[in-house]
Amino acid sequence: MTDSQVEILLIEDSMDDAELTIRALKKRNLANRLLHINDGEKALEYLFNPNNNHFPKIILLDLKMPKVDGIQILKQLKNDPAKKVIPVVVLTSSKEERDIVETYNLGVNAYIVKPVQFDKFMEAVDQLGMFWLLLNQPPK
Amino acid sequence: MKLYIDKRVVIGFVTSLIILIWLGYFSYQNNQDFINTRALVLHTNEVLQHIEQVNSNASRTEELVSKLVITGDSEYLANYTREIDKAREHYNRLRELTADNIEQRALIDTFVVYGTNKYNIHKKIIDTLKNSKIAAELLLGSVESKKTSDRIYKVISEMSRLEKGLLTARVNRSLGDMREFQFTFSLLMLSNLIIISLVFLMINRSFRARLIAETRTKQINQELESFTYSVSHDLRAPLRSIRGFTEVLKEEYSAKLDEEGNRLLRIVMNNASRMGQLIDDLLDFSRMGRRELSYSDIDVQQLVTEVIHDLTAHENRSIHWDIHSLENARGDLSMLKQVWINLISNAIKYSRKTAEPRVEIGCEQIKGNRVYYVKDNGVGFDMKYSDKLFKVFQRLHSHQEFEGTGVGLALVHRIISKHRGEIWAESKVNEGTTFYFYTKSLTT
Repeated sequence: MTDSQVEILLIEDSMDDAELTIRALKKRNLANRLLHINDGEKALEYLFNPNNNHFPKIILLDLKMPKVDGIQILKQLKNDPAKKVIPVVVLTSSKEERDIVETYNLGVNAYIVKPVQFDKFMEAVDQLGMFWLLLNQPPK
Repeated sequence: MKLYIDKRVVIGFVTSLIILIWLGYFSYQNNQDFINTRALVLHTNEVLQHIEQVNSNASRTEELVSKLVITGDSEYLANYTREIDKAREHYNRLRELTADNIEQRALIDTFVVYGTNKYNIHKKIIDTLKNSKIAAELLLGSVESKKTSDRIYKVISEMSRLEKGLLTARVNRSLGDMREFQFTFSLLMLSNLIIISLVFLMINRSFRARLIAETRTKQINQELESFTYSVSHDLRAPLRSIRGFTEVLKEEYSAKLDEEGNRLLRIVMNNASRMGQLIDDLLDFSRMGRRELSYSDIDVQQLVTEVIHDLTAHENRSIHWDIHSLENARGDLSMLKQVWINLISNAIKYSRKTAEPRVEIGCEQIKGNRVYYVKDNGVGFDMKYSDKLFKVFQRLHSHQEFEGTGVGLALVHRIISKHRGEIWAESKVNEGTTFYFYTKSLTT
């Protein structure tokens, strides 16, 4: 899969959580163009690579990660005029985490509580008006 | 009255108070003495003045008599009589003024004796003058006359000396008293100053100690809260995997497992869910402890209606609701909403086994507090366990009977305590439970 094909970017350090998320999306044929990065630092490298001018359609972002955490990634995204329009769905493990993000006023588009359930994910996608964009993919 | 301050502070305070009262009394006394001394000095001065007058009367009469003898002018005789009257006046005044002074009194009496003698001599001279001027002159210059005069002046000077001595003594004593007063006053004042300074230092020290203890308690509480938070939070991660992968197992491998295998899988899933609920509740509980209250006016009637609507949306049993008029309250809206959610959902939950469930909600004035109540006709509980009701993870029913984690009422209790209110319950087994609570706002 080349970068230009990536539609969902999953930034999640826990391999178990990532597997569950990917499974939930795979069941609805949504994981074909999903890229999983398990490290905040690498995620930043990927997103801010000057040679890459293709951005994912949606970012699923975990908050608690070692070194570079979700908040830092959010801040950088929202400070970048080109990238601040990418919808970001934050994966939270508690209401507390949601509160923490909201104190930063970072303009998160949606929250999904882990483990990621397909219907919750679709709800978020729907909210973002991206339903057809993501769903109308031919199965491979 | 119960005292919370150091015993030494109390002693210091009382001592300083006593010294202050003493100082006041002492000053009053001294002032009184001063007034008395002043009156005495004035009195002595008056006496001296009269003595002076008597003295001048004596010399004037003498002079007038001599002039009368030399000139024979009857004018002098009239003046003489006037002078004698004046002398009598002063003498009578003197007697009055020196009523308390025996020594001076004695001198005055002596003066009277000599004065009378002199007066008799003068009378004799005046009588003699009518017949012979020479004989009168002789009498005037006689030894007896001179001697009597000497005696009179001597007595007068004696009187004057005595009174002056008295004056000096009084003034000296007054000065001495004043010096003594000043010394004692300064001493008492100084000791009071020292005591008050010591008391101040002691209070300051104990206050500082209390402040340190308070800060420490706050810090420990914060540590505990953040510990609870991170434990609950980090516990969720592995639990999530357990739940998620068991779910996957069930979905993808359920067909390959036999009935017993599926049953065991269900048990694992149920328990994982329950643990998730426990952690969520514990997190809520710990969140509530750290949250600051934000006060606002709350339309309780509307809030309760909303909560009931939300809670009964998925309830397929019909419950009879008896909602009375509910007065507005002041408090933290989201917290008090949680209270109503927990109490009402409890009422619904614990009346699930009742044939005709009914829940009554109202408010009434009890001992000056606006008390809200939620009354159900559910399963109830034995009042002897009521002390366990509001404690974390304490339950009065098994999980099989009624699901729950034992955090709900602890959370309610915590919220009510944060609002400086109280919550209590009355219950009878199989008849129902009533929860009562009130809150206090900072502004009312």
